[in-house]
Amino acid sequence: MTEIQKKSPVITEYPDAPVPTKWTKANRQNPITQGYKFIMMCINIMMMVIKGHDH
Amino acid sequence: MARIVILGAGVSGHTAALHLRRMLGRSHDITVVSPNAKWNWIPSNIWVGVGIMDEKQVTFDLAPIYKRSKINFVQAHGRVIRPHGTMDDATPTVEVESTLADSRGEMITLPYDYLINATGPKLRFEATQGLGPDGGNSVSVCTADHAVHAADELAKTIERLKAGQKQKIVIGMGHGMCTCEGAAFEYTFNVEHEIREAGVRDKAEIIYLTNEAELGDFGVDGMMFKQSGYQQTSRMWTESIFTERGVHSILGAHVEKVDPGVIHYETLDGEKYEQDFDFAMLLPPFGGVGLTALDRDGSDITDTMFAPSGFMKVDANYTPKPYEEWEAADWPDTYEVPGYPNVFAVGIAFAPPHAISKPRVSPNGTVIAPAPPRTGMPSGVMGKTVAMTIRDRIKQGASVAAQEASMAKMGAACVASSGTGAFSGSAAAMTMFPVVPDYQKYPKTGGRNFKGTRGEIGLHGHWVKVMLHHLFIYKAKALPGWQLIPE
Repeated sequence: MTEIQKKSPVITEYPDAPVPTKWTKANRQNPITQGYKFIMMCINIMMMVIKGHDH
Repeated sequence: MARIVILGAGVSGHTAALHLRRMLGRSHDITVVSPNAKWNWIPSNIWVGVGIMDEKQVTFDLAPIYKRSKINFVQAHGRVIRPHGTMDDATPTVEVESTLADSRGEMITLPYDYLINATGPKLRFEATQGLGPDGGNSVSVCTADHAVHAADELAKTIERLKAGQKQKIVIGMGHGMCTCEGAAFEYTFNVEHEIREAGVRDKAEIIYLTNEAELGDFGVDGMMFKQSGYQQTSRMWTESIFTERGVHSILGAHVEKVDPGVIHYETLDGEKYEQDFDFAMLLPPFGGVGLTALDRDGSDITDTMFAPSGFMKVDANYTPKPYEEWEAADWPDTYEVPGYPNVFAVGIAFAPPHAISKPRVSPNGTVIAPAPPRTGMPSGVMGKTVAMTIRDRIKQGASVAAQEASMAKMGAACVASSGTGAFSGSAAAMTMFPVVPDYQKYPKTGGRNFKGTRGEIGLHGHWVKVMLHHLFIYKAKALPGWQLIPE
């Protein structure tokens, strides 16, 4: 059994993580772009339903 | 006339009950047994847990729905299954224990021709000392009541932040064998949003504590996405979100004990640590609800119908073998209990054949491995599939082949949405197809089809989550046209 360590090994940085640009962040809240993505995501979910698991 | 008993009124049991009533004539008897008087749309408990929704918005009374749908409702816990009946009467029965105030503890025997076990999980807070809101030192969002309590505690934490006190917030898994990492991830996303909206983000350290060996595993061995022409992993995707929102993490952790303000845990390297906290939402591990199976003579045959975890064995391949040899085909197709063609287990109640994420053990022998999720969309599909099998067997004969719906062939969506406004919310949305990766069929794309496996961030995911919230509650209330809404 190993000794109890007091300092918790908290990860505070993720060096491999891609960081979004200002444009990407703005795009995530743009109603027109997001409206298109909403439709695409609904189609994606319906594709799963039809192809995979509905009867 | 056939008698169908359904144990559990969660997503899978309730879905099965509604479809059976729709597909079968009124001459057939459908009975739902649930210890709870209310139905709960559990995915939205996350919003209750941060105080942006109240309990009434995610629950409703089951009794009026079942009365309108001509389904019998017994408010009770399932206790004993007698699949061969007794020495006096060979009719299969299930014994249930009433949870109604005026008859609490009273045993009722329900005969059945078909039985669906859809009991969901037992929330095993007792697996970790000091875990949970009932006598423990952490909060939970597993039930609507728990979520209301979590929201109250979070509000106090935000008040302390506003008063200038620094606060440590830990969100994650309360045991090394937990499942539903997606729910903890979503709660983290929401808590961070609320604290930022309150203007005190700089005073709070938010730590995601998980049994996952790396971020983005989610108990499904992670995912690969195609984004902007490049392959990306769910690890990079989650790390990106955590970087953007300043969320820290502790990986590969098994929580051993939760004292007031201190979490004691072990990591995959066998080292033991302590993490102090001011607010901790830690999910419990799941187990079977403790049903017992008895033979005609009263001898215990529980181990023939149930795995040691308490989950029910179905048509999966439970042969022990190394992780590398597990296959998508090991997962069940029909959810029929071997040897009992009139008994089925769906949703969390069925025993998975193996973990999806690689199981890991610390040098101390502690298993630290996310358990496979079996909630949400797949649960509803299983409920409907089993309902169709029962319909076929009642109408065409007991030997008719069962309908199939393997988790290795169906997809699922997990949307972590925060905020309430139509234009101010945001979400991290994942879809995966299939849920259980098929490395033979999709060897180069992480066992999944790129066309259905995606990770997106933005307002549109928030709209999807809000839409699903309203659609599924509408469907569960069996309002006109409910059957047109897919599982």
